[in-house]
Amino acid sequence: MTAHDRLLRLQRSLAVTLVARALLVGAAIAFVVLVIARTLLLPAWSVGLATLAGAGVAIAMLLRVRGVRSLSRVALWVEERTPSLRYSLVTVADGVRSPSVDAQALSVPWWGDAQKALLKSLLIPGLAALVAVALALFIPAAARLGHGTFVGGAAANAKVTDVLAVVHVAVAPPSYSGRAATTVDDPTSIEALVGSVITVSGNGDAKLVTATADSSARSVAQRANGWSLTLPMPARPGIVRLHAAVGRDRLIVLAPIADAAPVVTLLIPAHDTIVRRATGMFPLHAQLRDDIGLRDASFELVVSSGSGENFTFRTTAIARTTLGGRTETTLDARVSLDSLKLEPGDILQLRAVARDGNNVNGPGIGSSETRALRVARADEYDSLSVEQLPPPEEQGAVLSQRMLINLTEALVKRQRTLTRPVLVSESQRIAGDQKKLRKRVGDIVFQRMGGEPLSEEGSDEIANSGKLTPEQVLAKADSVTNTGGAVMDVEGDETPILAINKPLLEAFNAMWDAGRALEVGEPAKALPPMRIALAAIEKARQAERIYLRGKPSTAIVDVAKARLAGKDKGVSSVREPRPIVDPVLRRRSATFERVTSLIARDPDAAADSLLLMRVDALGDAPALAAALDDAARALRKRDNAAIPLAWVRVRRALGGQPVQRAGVSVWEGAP
Amino acid sequence: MPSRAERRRIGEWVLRAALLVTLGVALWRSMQPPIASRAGRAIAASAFERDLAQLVASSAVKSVDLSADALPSRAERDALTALRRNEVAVRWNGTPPSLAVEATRAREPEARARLHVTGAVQPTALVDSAGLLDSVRAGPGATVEAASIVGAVRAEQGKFAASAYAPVQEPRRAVLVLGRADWETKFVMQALSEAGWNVRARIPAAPNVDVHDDLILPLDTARYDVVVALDSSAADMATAIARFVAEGGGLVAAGGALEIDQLGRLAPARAGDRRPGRILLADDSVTTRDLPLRPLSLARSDAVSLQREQPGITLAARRAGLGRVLAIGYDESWRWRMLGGTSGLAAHRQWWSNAAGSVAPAREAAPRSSGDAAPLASLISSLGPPSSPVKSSSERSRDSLPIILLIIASACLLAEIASRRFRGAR
Amino acid sequence: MSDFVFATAQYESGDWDSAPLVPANIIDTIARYTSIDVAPSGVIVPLSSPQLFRYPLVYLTGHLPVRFGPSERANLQRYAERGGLLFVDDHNHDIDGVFHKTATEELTRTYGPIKPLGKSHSLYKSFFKFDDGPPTTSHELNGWGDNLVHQTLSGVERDGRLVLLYSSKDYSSEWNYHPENKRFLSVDNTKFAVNIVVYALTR
Repeated sequence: MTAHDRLLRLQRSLAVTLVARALLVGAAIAFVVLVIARTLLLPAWSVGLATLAGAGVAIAMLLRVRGVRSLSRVALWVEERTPSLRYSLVTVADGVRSPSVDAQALSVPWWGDAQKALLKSLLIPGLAALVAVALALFIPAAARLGHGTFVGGAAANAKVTDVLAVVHVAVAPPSYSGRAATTVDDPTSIEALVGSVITVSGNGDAKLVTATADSSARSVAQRANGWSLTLPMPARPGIVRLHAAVGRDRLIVLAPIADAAPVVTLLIPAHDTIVRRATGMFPLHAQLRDDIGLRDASFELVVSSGSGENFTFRTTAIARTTLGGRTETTLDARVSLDSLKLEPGDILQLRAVARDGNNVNGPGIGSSETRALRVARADEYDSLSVEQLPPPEEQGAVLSQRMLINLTEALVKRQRTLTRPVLVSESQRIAGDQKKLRKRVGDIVFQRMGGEPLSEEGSDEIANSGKLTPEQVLAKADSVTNTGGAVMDVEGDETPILAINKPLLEAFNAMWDAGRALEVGEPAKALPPMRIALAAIEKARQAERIYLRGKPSTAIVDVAKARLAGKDKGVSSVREPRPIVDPVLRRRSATFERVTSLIARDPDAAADSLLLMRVDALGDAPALAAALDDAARALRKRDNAAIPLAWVRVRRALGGQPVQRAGVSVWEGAP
Repeated sequence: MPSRAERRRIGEWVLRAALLVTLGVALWRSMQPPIASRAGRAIAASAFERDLAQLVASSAVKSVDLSADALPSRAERDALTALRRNEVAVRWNGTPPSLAVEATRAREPEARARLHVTGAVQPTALVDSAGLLDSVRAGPGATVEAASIVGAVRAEQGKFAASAYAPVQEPRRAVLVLGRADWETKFVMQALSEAGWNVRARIPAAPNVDVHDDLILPLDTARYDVVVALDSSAADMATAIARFVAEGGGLVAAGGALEIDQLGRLAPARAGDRRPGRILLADDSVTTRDLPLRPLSLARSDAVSLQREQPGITLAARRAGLGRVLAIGYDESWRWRMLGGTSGLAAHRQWWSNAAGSVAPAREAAPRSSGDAAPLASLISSLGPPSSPVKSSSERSRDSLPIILLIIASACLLAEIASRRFRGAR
Repeated sequence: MSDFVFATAQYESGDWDSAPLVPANIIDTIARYTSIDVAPSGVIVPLSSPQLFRYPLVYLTGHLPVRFGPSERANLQRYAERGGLLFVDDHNHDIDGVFHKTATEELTRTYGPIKPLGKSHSLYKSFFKFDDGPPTTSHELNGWGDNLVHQTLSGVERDGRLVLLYSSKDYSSEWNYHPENKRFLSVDNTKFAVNIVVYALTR
C-alpha cells in the first residue's frame, strides 16, 4: 500500500471519528440536560430542549469535519505526531509521486499511532455519553408535589407515597368492658363497642394527611414514626376518610357494636298468683346475664291499693346487690308479705331489674317479666274459677283443673277401700265439676264478639256435643248463629264467632273424654285426658293470659238507630302530601350498578363506593353490609379470583336470589 | 451423432432440470396466499372475525359456506349480507339452538328486571356485566326476575349467546285509590305506598265528608298510571275511570266496584257471592288461600283467568281500549298483611304492587344500546334457512396439485439416480 | 268488606278493664257521625295473642302499673311493623303517677322515643276540626288527677303514620258512660274518638 493510500485511509477514519465524537458528545449533552430538567420538574417541553442542546453541540462539532476534507491537513496532523517524517507525507499529500518520497513517508509506521490516537479520542465522549444515559434512566419520573416543594430523588418520593400505603388501626374498648385492645392493619372496616377509642396511624408526615369522620374534620397528630388520628367509636355507623397529598383517599367504615342491655329472667315466682290472705314469706329468684358485665341488680316492688277510680301506689326496691362486672349470676330475696301490709284488693307487682356497667351511653337496663300477686276480695272469690296457676305452697284452696286432677288421683288411691256405689258417686261428683269447667272453657274456645258466656241451662249445642274438630266447631257455631260465615251480623243474643282458640279446643275435647270416664265410675281412665286438658290450658295461657273468671259485661249498640243521628257534621280533610318512599332496594341497586361500571376505570373508587353503601346498610341489612365489606376488600387487593364471587354475594344480599318461573306469562307482571 | 452415453447424460440433465422446475413450482405455490385464486371458501362462524378481512379483501371468492358452530354477531351477519349483495353466494349450515332473550322492566316503582329466555334446552347461563345472574334450563321458555342488571344481559349456551338490554324505566305516575274508610282501603294504600308508588286517594267517611288528596282531578294518563277501585264509592267517578282506561290507564277493581255498571262493562269478570274463607281458623299464618273470596266468573271472551283458588277464579284481566283492567276476587286482603306471619307483610305489599303494575301503562325509554336478542332468527332472516355444506371444484384441484408435483419430483429423482447407477456413475 | 271492630287490649299486669263502657260509647259515636261500617259491640283481645292482629286499632287503658311481658312486647312490635295503631290512655290523668311512668317506660322500650304531637297534626283534622289540639276533658277542668291540663298528646310515627298514640288526658273517664246517656249532654264529648278512628282508617 502506498503512502498516499494510507493517507486516504486515515482521512476516512479521521472523518468517521470526528462524526462519532460529535454524536457522542451531543448525546451526552442531551441526556445531561434531560436529567437536569427532570430533577427540576420541568414540563414536557424540556425534552425538546435537551434534544436541541445535544443537536447544537453535535452540529458545532461536526463543522470540524470540514477540515478533514483537505488531505494536506490530514498529513500535517500526522507530521505533528511523527516529526521524523520530515514532511514527506505532506509532499505525498501534495501529489508528488516519487519512490524515494514514498519510501520516506512509509519508513515510520505512523498509521498505527494515528489509529490509536483516534480511538483514544473517542474514549472520553463515549464514557460521558454512557454516564449521561445511566443517569437519565435512574432518575424516576417527575414527582407530583402538592406543595410545589422540591423533593429530590427516589427515596424522597417513596416517603410521600408511603403516607397512606399502610394504615394501622388500634382499637381500645371502653374500660368498663374489661376487654383487651386489638390492632389490625389496612382494614376496610372497624367493628368495636360504642365508645371504643380508635387510633388510626401510618408512616410519614402528618402534614400530608387530612382526616374527616362523617364530614367533620379531625386533627392528625405527628408521632415519632409517623402520623396518627384518634377518635371514639360513635353510636351510629360512620366513615373515616383519610386524604393524602399523594395517592388516593382511604375510607374506613366505623361499625359500632351496641352494648346489649342485661337479660333478666324472673324464675320464682313463675306465674301470677292470687291469695286469700297476704301473709308469710315469698321467695324471689332471678337469673341475670349480660354480654359485657353486670353492675348491679335489685327487685322492684309496686303495691297498688284502691279500686274504681281511686288508687294509691307504693314503690320500693329490695335486695340491691353490686355485681362487680360478672356476666352471669343469680339474684335471690325473700319478701315478707306481712311487712307489706297488703289488704284485700291490693296488687303487688314485682320484677327484677339489672344494670350493666356501660358508662359510655348507658347504663343498659334490663328487667324481667312482671309477676303480680293479688289479694282476692271476699266477693270475687269463686269456687269454680279456672286459675291455672300452681297454688302457692302455703295455699291450696283454689279449685281448678289441677285440683280436679288431685281429687281424681286421691280417689284412685282410695278406690280399693271403697264400695262400688260410693266410688261411682264420688266419681260422678268430680264429673259434674269437670263438666262445668268444660262449659267455661267452651265459652273461650270460640271468642265471641260481646255477649254473655254460654249459660249452664241454655240451648248449648256446642257444650253438649262431643269432641269436635276446629272446622266442626266453626260449622256448628255458624249454624247456631245463622251467620253463614259473615262475622258481623247480630241477631238477638247470638253473637258471631270471631276466632277459634285451638289449644283450648284441645282441652275442651280432652275434658269430654275425662267426663265420660268419670261418669261411669272409672276415675283411673279419666286421669290421662285430664292431664292432657291441663297441659292444653297451660299452653293456651302461655299464648294468652285468659282470665277465666268472667268478662266485663259489654253493651251492644243499636248501630242502625244511631246511624247519622249526630247533630254535628264532619269536615272533609286533605291528606298531607307524603314523601314518596323510594324503595331501598331500587336505590341500592342503582348505586350497585354505578359501582359495577366503575370497576374497570377505577377499582379503588369502586371499593370506596362499596364502603359507603356498607355504612348505609349496617342498620337494616347486616348480611348486605358484610357482603359489601368482602367485595371492597377483594377490590382493594385486586384479588381477581375473589371479586366475581364477592359480586355474586352482594347481588344475592341486595335483591335475593333471582326468581325463576317456567314459561312466559300470558299477562306480564300479574301477582 | 451423440453416443448412447452422451444421450444418457443429456437425459439425466433433463431429469435434474425437471426436478428443479418441479421444486420451484412447489415453492412458488406454497408462497401463494391460501384464498387467492380460490373460488369458494368454507369458514367456521367462531373464527369468522379472523377470516372476514381476507374474505372481503379477496376478489376471487365466489362463495362462502358458513358452519354455524357459533351464532354470528349482528356485525358479522351484516358483513355476510353485504358479501351476498356483491354476488358472493353465502350459505350456512348447522343446528344452532334457537336461543332468544328479552329484557323488560316491571311496571312498578321498584322496576325489577324481567328476563324472558327461550330455547334454553341445554343449561344456559344468564350473565351481565356484573357477573352471573342465574342459570336456566327450560326449552319452551322461562322468566327470571332479578333485582338489578348491569349493562347487557347475555344468555350463554356454550359458544351460542343471545343478548339484550333492559329498557330504561321512566318514573311512574300516581295511583289513585278509591274506597270507603275501612281497613282494606287503608292497607291497600299503605302497601302501595311502601312499594314506592305515589298514592293519592279519596276516602268517603260520611255523606259529603271525605278524606282526599289535593287536586285529585283530572283523572288522566299524564297524572296517573292506575286507578284502584275497592268498592261502590267509585261510582261517581265511573265515567272518568272508563275514559281513563280507554286512553291507556290501568284499572284494578275489587268488591263492590265490579258491580258499578260502567266499570262492570270494562271488567273481565263478575264477582259471585262471598265465601267466608278460613280466617277464623288461622292464627298468624294467613295466606291468600284463607282469605274470604268472591269467586269471579269471566264475563268477556277476551278475559284471561290469572289465578284460581279452590272455590273459583280469584284474578282475571283483559285489555279495554288502550288500557287494561284487573278484577280481584279476594276480600279483606288486609288480613294477609296483618295475620300472615313474618312473610305476610312483604307478600301483601308485593302482591298489590304487582297488581297495579300489571295494568299500568308502559313508560320506558329505549335502552341506550341494542343487543342481539334472537340471533338465530336474525341469521335466518338475513341469509335464509340453513343448507347442506358443498365443496367447490377448485378446492378439489387445489388439493391434488401438491400430490402431482410430489409424484413428478419423485419420478425425476428416481429416474436420474437409476440412470447414473446403471451406467456405473455415482 | 269487614266492619270496623273496636278492640280493647287485655294485658297481664294491670286493670285493663277499667273503662268497660268506652267501647260502646265510641261505637255509638262512629255510627252517629260517619258512614263507617262498625260492629255493634267491641271485643277484648289479649296483647300477647295472635288475635291482636285482627284489630289494627286497639285501645289500652288502666290505673295500675303497666308491665309488658316478652310475648306482649314482641306482639306489639310486630303489630306496629304491620301497620297497627295502639291508642293508650292514662285512666289516672297523672303524669307523675305509676301508670304514666310505667306505661311510658314500657312503650318507649317497645316502640322507641315518644314525642309530643303538634297541634297541626292531621289527627286533629281527620274528621272534626280541633284547632287547639286535643280537646280538654271535664276531668282536667275539674282538677282530676294531677290537676293539670295536658296540652298535647304524644306518639310514635313510622313513615309518617302513627303507630302509637299516647294520652294522659284521661279520655277513658271522659268516655266511660253508656251511650244512651249522651242525650243528657249538650255537647258530645266523644267526637275526638271519631278523629282517632278515621285517622286510623285513612292514613
